Amino acid sequence: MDSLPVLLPAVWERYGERFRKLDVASWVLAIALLCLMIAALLRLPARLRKVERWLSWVSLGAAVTGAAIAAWRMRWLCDDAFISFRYAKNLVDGHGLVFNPGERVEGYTNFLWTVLMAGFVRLGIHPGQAAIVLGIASYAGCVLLAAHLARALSPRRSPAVVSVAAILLAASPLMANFGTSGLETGFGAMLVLLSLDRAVHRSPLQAGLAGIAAVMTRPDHAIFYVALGAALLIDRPTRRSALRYAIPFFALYLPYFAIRWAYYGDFLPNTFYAKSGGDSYFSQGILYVLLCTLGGGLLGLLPLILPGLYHLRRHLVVRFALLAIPIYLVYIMKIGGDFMYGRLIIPVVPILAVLAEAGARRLVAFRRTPWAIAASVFLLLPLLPVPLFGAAEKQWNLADERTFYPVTSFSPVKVDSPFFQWSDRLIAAFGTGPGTPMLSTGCVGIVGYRTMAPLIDIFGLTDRHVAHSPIAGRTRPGHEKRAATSYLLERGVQLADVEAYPSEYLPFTTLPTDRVALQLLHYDDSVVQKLRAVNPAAVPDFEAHLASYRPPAGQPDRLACDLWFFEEFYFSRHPNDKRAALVTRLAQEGHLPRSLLPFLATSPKEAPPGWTAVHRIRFDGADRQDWLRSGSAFASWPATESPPAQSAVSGGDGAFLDTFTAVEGDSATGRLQSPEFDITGEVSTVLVAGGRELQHLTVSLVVDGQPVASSTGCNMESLSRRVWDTRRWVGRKGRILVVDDTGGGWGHLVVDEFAQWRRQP
Amino acid sequence: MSPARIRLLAIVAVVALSSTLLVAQALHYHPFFADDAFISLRYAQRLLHGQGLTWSEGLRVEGYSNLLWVLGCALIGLPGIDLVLAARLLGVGSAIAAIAALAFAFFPAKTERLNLDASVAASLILGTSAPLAVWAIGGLEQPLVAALLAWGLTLALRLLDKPTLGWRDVLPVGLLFGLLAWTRPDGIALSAAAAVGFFLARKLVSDRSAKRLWSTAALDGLRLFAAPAGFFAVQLAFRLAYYRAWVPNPALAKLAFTSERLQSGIAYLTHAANVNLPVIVLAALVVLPVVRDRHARGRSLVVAIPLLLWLIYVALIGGDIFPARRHIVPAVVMIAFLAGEAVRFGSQRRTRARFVAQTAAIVAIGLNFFRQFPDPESLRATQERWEWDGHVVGAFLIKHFGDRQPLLAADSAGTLPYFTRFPAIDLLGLNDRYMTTHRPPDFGHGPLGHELGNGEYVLGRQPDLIVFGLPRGEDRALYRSGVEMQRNPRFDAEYVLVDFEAYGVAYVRSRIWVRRSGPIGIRTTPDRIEIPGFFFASRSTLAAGEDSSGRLGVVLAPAATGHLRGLSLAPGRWRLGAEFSGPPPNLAVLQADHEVASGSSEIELEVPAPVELACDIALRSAGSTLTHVRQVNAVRVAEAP
Repeated sequence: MDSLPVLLPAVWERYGERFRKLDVASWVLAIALLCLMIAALLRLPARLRKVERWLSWVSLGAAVTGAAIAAWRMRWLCDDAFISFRYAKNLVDGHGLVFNPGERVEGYTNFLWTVLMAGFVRLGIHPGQAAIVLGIASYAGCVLLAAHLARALSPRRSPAVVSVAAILLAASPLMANFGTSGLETGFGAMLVLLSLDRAVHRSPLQAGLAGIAAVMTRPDHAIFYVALGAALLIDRPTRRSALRYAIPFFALYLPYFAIRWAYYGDFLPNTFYAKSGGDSYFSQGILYVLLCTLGGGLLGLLPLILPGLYHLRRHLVVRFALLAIPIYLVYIMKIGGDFMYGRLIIPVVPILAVLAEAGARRLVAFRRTPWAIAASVFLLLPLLPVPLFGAAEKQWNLADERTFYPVTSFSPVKVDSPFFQWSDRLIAAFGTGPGTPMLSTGCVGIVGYRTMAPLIDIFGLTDRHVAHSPIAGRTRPGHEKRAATSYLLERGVQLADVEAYPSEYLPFTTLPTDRVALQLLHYDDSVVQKLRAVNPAAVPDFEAHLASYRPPAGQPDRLACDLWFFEEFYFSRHPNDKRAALVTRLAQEGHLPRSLLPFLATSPKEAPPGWTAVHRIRFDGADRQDWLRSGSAFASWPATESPPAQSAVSGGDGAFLDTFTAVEGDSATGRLQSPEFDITGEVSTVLVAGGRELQHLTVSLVVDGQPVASSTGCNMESLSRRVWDTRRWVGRKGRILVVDDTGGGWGHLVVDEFAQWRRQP
Repeated sequence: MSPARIRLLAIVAVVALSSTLLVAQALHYHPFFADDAFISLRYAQRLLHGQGLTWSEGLRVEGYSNLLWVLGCALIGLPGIDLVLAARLLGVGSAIAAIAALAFAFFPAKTERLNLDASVAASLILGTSAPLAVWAIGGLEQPLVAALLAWGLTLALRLLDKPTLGWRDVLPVGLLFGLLAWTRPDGIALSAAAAVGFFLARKLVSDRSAKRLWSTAALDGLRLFAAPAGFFAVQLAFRLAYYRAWVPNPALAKLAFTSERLQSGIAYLTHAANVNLPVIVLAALVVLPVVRDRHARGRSLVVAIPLLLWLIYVALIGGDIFPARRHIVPAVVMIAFLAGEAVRFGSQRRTRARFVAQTAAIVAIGLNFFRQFPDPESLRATQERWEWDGHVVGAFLIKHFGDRQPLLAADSAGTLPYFTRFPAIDLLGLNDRYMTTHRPPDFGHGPLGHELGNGEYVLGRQPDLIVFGLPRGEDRALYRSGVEMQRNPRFDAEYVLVDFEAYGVAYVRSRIWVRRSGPIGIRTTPDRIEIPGFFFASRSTLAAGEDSSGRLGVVLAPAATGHLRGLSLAPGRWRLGAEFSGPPPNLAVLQADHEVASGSSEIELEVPAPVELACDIALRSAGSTLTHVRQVNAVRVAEAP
């Protein structure tokens, strides 16, 4: 992504372009609401004083109704919400608060919300429906609490009969967007506001309870909880109440934290490791805050917030805001914001609205009404629905996620997402719950909740291994860590939405679907049968291909890779005789030397019966004496793990040779040569992974200066066994030579154990 | 808690807050370390090794312009602390001292209400300053300049209101400015400007009832300047006695008062002003107190005059070439003083004015902080790491040639000479008296600090290793010395370009020109020629590196031939053999590109009398394997009949 100085003009340009394209209806509605807000600031005529109370309730009712209608019209359930629903369902089903039964990973960051959802599941209510209703209720709660707080802050000379803050929030497209979503966003914001409201109204215990509930709803709301505590401590009159405010922390939060720590074994949620792992991502975070404040029109509140901050500078609300908001914004910037446009900024919006109203009313009370009206004109900005992002558009690592997951039916809950159809197909084939094949996808929510199949999250939110892997390069927050395909194969994933094999094998692994290509990672008979029962053409006929397989002429590397693919995809889950039948046929047809049959007919993880390894070169604690190297590819060898920018290497044991380097990546080139050894084995094997390039990426056995056997990778990071017939060279001297003479994609080679084998006498 | 303790805690908190921000920023720029910083460290290194304040053997040259910094680094390094760490400790410590000075300067007096606004604002300007953060770890003297200047001004400001001043009152300020004069040669000008400001301010702040005479005020100013002048005189005497020069060598290598320099200096300042605009605007608000308050006017004058002088000076010398605007650091210190004065003016007034002052300070400092990150000059400090290549290459060279102490000539005169400790020639002339006293006629019109050079002179000194450009080296020279050398036919005859592969904390491939004869070159006697293997790594397809035992040689790769041209064999029977690891290499003797003799690892050759055989030697690996050849020996086993 471009740097901030390059991006900022682009952001400004887009804002201007979208601003100009706003329709007349949006302008009319926004101007009408602005007039209403300005009118609300003015002193009520004497003849209307009698109906003041009535007016207050009617206006509040209208604001709440308006907010509810706006949120309902925009209703959506994001994929991440379904992750919480799955945790809730597993809890109700007795598996504990887990994503995959038996794996304790804290893949949610909304404990209280998840537990609430579990309550609804227990009552037989679909959590999606409950989340929508509860989300709208939270939004309405925000509107009500903002009005309540604004009234408390308004001066006697300008009482908040009709609350400007309530209108602002009810008409804010940003707030309405997160009126649903299925996530805890609105609920958390409401709890923060409730905590502040209770503190202002001198109920510190209730404030503490609401604050701790907010923290248990989202851990980062601890910033608001601590800031409110600090604000209470600063002022002498409220200092004592800080003690009561802290009681829920000790009584509720600490025990909760201790239990969750003991339960999951991690001090911080897995999502923390999956998203940033403590790394700073300021460039993206600053952009996120800027886009949210610009798109949400929050800058329009500033002219009123500033006088509010000044006039109420000794007030608890202002002290809280001055402490909490800068820290919270810096926190958002540090973590790089979020991939969902607007989400993290939501808790701040009601506080800003309250401060804006307080500022406006103070100006009016101090006879600065023209100033108040002039500043209020900018309130038009938060009312205008400026769509910075188009439908299903991903830009600057952000998106308006609502457009990806609109709810098309409330009962039964249906979301217009390809993953909904994906899960429909899986359910039709395998049913739900245990017994379904292991899946892996980047959208684990919808598929995971609906199928309840064992599932690995590509991005690691619910997977400890992936979450703790390093970030290769900064991209879309929350989508930066990826499960290596070798890890998915190792874990036994059978269906995934990522391409696990090199492109030449995709015709055998890709299952035709409407919008999201589904990949078969292992040809498991029971899985294939179930898929074919729904649709006979669902799975390519791989067994027929195997029966008629002829290796391409003159491509020994392709034959080796084909055998590796057959092994990984098919033979590893079938009886040995299937493998033996194929290699025997290939040997009979002259494609393979017969001498290698014992090895090729056996699983590569096993030693062939009757053979023993007589010489091995391993790289664990490798003795470097007499090894020769040149070039950057072997600047530090052997490797114990692959660099962050490379997918994890699997299939080996301990250290290995890797020509992919942390500094140069695939561009590193070089050669490494072993000392001379006696060739004693009739057959030699070597483990190879990495790029496939028989000219420039090879591991070779060299005799008399000439390579007598060479192998290359298969464009995969899974180490696989290559077998060389070395009978002709027994009694001679040989060396192993690893060559990487190429850069570009897959321009690296991985090599592990070389072994020489002899038949047991 | 007693009021005194509260005050102490308050100032500690203010300093801690700004220092934390500074250190966090510095970590962001770590491990940046400027090449010129290694020049200073080489002086410190040689001083610690008893070789005096010198950069290399031979004529003593004052190639540093930061005497106190060099001595400070040497002092910290005395117990064995790594000098890079010593420079960073001194840098960070000095930067924190500068912050403390600003916090102290605006800390309210005991009789005043504990209002920390100005103290926080002024110290935060330093704490959030990217140039100060970069140079706190960048290895040059700017943080020390900042600390001495900040404390000098702080103490000078405290003296302004004293009715009468004696020598003893002014001495601490004078000492600080004196040390400043030792820290940078231009420090004396800053001291003089501060003294002028002090003199004018003393006159201005005297109340009407006891109006101070101009002569009294002038005497106060002179008292303040006495110590710096003394320090300056002592350094000048040392320079004359030790280096036999009136001015430091870098001044001759860089200073030129030309229109190009002025243009580049103005551009340097305007770009810096653009980035730091919010804080400059905040500092400009000092006009409010200046207009309304006599004391504020006096205080501002003491700061404004050195600031003005410094800006003019930077414009005249053409700015600077280093990342993160090194010369802006003193200006930032003085701007922080003015901004603090402006904030103090607002915060001491009505609550509304205080609120405005606080808001303006927060907005300005916050904006300034964030504007600095995308600044290309700050970004350079996050990206420039080539100096550390010198660490790898230096360690490699010292390992293989350290015992023979070859003469090194390098454009990057900091990192390579520091890490190799070899006697050295600075190809850009910063550390070379000859080049600074033989400046080219077009001096002052080219890139700052990269204009000097003299190919004939360098070639005449017969350097054994020549590195053009950065430590990774270049085959073609970039600057005057190298360009002139490569135009000379002697260069091609005497030097061979060798690609060295150094595996240290990182992999670095460095292209170095090596002299064929000399302490690391080909050793020739009438009956024996010993050719180090690395001479065959003269094509980019081959490289010189170590075998598994750490011995240096050429690594012969398949399909690449190592050539060494221009040998001559006297008449007689010669046996050529190679010392190698791995499979035996193929060895060939070529005459006019035709093979005269060849064989595997050892060959014999008859050179008929009476003419010497002018030939080349070629090395090839056997087949597809790698071979490491450490040395090729040619031994005359029999005289020609």
